[in-house]
Amino acid sequence: METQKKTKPLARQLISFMFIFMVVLFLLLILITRQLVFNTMRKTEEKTIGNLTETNVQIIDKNLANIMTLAKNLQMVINDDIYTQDNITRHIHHLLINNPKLVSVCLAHDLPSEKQTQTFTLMQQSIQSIPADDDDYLFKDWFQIPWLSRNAYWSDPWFDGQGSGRVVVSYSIPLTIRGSYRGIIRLDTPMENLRRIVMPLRIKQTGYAFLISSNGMIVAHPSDSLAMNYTIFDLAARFDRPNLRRIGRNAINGQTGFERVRIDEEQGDNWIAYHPLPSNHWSLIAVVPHSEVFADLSYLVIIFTIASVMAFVILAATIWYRSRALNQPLTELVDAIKQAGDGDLQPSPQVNTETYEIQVIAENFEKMKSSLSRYIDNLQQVTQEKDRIMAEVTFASAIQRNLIPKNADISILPPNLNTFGILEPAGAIGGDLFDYFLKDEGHFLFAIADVVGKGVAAAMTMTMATTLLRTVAPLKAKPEEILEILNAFLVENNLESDFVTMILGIIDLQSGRCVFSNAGHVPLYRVSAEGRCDKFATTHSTALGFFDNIRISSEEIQLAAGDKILVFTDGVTEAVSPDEQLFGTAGLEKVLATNSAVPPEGMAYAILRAIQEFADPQMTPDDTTILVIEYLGPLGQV
Amino acid sequence: MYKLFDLSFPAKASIRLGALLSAMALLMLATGCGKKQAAPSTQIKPALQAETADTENLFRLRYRLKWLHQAQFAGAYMAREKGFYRQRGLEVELLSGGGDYPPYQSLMEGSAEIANLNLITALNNYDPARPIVNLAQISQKNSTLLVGKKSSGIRTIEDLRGKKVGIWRDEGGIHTIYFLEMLDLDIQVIPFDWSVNLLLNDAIDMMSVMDYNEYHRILMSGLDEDELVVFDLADYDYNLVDDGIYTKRSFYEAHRQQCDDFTEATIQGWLYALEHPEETLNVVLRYQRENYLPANPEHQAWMLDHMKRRVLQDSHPPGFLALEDFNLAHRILEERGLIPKAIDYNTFFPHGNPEKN
Repeated sequence: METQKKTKPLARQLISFMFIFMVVLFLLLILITRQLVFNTMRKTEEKTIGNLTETNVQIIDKNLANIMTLAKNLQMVINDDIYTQDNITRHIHHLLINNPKLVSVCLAHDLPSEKQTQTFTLMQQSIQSIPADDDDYLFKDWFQIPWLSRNAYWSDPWFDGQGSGRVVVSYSIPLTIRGSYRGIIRLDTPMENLRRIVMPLRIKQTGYAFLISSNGMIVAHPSDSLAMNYTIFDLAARFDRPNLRRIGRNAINGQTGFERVRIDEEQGDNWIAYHPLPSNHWSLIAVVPHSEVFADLSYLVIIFTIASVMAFVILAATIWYRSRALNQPLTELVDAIKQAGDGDLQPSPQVNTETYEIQVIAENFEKMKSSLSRYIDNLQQVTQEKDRIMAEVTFASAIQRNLIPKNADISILPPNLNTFGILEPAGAIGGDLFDYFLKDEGHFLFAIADVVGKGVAAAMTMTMATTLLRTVAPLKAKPEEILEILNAFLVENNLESDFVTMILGIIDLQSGRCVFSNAGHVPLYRVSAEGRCDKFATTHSTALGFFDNIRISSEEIQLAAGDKILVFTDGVTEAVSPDEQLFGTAGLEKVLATNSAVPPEGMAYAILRAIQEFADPQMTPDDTTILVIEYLGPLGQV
Repeated sequence: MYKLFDLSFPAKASIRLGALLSAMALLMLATGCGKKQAAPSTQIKPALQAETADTENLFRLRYRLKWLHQAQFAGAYMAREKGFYRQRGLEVELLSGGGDYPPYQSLMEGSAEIANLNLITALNNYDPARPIVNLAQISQKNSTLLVGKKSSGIRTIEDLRGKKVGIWRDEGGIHTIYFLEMLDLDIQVIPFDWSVNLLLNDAIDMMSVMDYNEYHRILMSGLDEDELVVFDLADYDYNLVDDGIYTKRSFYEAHRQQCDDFTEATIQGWLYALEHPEETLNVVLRYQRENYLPANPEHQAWMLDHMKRRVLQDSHPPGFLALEDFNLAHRILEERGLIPKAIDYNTFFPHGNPEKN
């Protein structure tokens, strides 16, 4: 038998379930672990990259702080106004010689007309003093901003074409003489020095650093084209990254931070660490690709993923192997069940399993099969026996039917009689009987009987009675004599103690007299052609086969030409309708009233139809026997 | 390694530029004109220009720009680049301006035949003995703003009383000084060169900026627009149009055809530039690089975009000097007694009424 539902092998079900479970489990594990490690790594990297940035900030700032100290000393020296111009020049000379990172000093006066503004720089170890050509310097940031604000100022990198001829970063502080503002003192340090610190910086593999000034201008960057051309805000605008702009604002406002930023889509995320230079409010910004900062995290996730996949593969293989061990005997068992389903109940080879449950199922299945097999053998024997009996019963039934006169065989009838009999047994064989034959030249004997009992015993009884009737009838003249002999025989030989009701009548064919005895049977009817209907219900003895030595009487009726005698068994009057009413003699007489003129065959069938219509088809009918004999007139006159 | 901040040109533009440069190199070899090159400002020999090869028959014109090379002069670059000048028989040299080369002075000295001047500068310097004429009024709108930080406490123009306001010390700052004087608020004018650092470092309270230039630099120095207080001079009856093309009247009369051709080609260049901003931007950046100037594409794009509003602002055709714009500048100067004798609009701007000239 094929299974109706779509089914999957056990191993596949287990592995699929396992797969879903493990994917969910490992995903959760990976995500949680990744987040925990990420947080830890982020803190560590923030510290590491932050420290690296801060260290470099300190190195750069040291240069600047040194310049600031020198500037303040010089400012005090000039302010005191106790040195001659030569002394001051010598002092500056010393400063330039002793501080290689100081390339020039400018003393700028706010009154260009006085021609006092000088830039001092070293030329082959001797000091050069370069006077200002014009008043343009008054409008340079390095002069104008500290002059207007009266505060120290660190300039952006600028090219000092008139002085040192180098790109410098300048520190400017007010030049005062005894507290009176006269101009600006400017000390220059080469931008190259700062670039040299920033440019080679490598963070992780490809991370780098750049320096922005206090207005966001990129002043040192490994990519030279950006320096002095772009601010960090230009970059934020170019890549449309508001968070980069925010970082820039934080940086120029002196804040420190470590943030994740995506700048260029193709480059992916970066981590940006920024740290201000305390001296001049510039910021050192370190950029490290996310993939490098969290390289170890990526490795961890990869290893974790590989481990998860391996764990799944191993587990799946184990399940597959084990379920095969489980499945093999199950498959054998399934095959055996399929064979059994197809009718093969031969014992199967023993199922080889280590699984207790399968072993129990297999053993019990074998037991069940052998029980079933035995039962089927048994059933076959019983069936054969039954068939044999049925065949015999059918044979008996045939014999019984042969005992009854055939309606078609009119040769046995005298010319002045018409007869028609119906015997409808309830089963294959019945206990009802009718018979008629010519007793002698002038006498016609008819009989109807009902063995009170069913089945083979009743049929046998009836068969014996018929045989006896045929044997005895020619020897006795009167019905009661014949019945007495039958009674005696039945009492003596009736093993089943069945008894028999019977009407036996003899018609004088010449005179139309009919003598009959009713032994416990239902009434006899005489129906005239005109429709008169006489019921003869007197019984002349008890039923036969009960009592020995019973006295039986008889009764004589005269038949006119066209009269009919109707005898029947209790199957007619005791037919029961669906509302549990008996058909009764009343029902019968109603039929007779309308069918008095029809020939015996028509009358017999009319009665049978009426019963069939009346009776409840659900109820098992009794044997039904009807015999109608029509007397056509004296023998010689017909 | 530093691709993150690598500001190379878009690929398409690079190819175009590369093709152009190779074409130039080939043609220079062919014509033998690559031997000696002139000043950096005129090194560029665009393909179209080279095609006509016969340089000697061209009429030479030197055009002094108001400032350093930038998108503010995109029209002239594109007129040269696309051969609009050459088609008219002109060989135009573009000369950088700025504080070191004041354009009006250039005209008078004869170091340039054509100069780019603000209208008010032109009228202010107008000398009836050596008159100049306006060939075209490129800018149709005031571009000067006063910008300060809101943190300075300035909210309205009256708050400027006694404050320090930075104004360009060259001729480009004159009208702003007039404007501040008109306000009569005892404002301390601080002349300065060009740096926005004065404002960023709070050395001044406000500064004059061009909306197409320094204003963007302030934004690109980390100040947000909502942190700034901005006064547009146009909102205070000072809608003075600025960039215009000028020449001496004597030159104009002697070379009227060439002057008209130059004007027409420049305006054609402007219209082309505004229709092809990407191509124009590449040319502008090339000029900047070849003159060793910082070349910042975003800044130049901002500038070109704002120039578009200035050039195509008016209902007049591009290059037209409207009478009311002329009158406003004239009146401001007249009221200050800076124009002794009234200047005639039609004489000053011959294209305003061609019949008369």
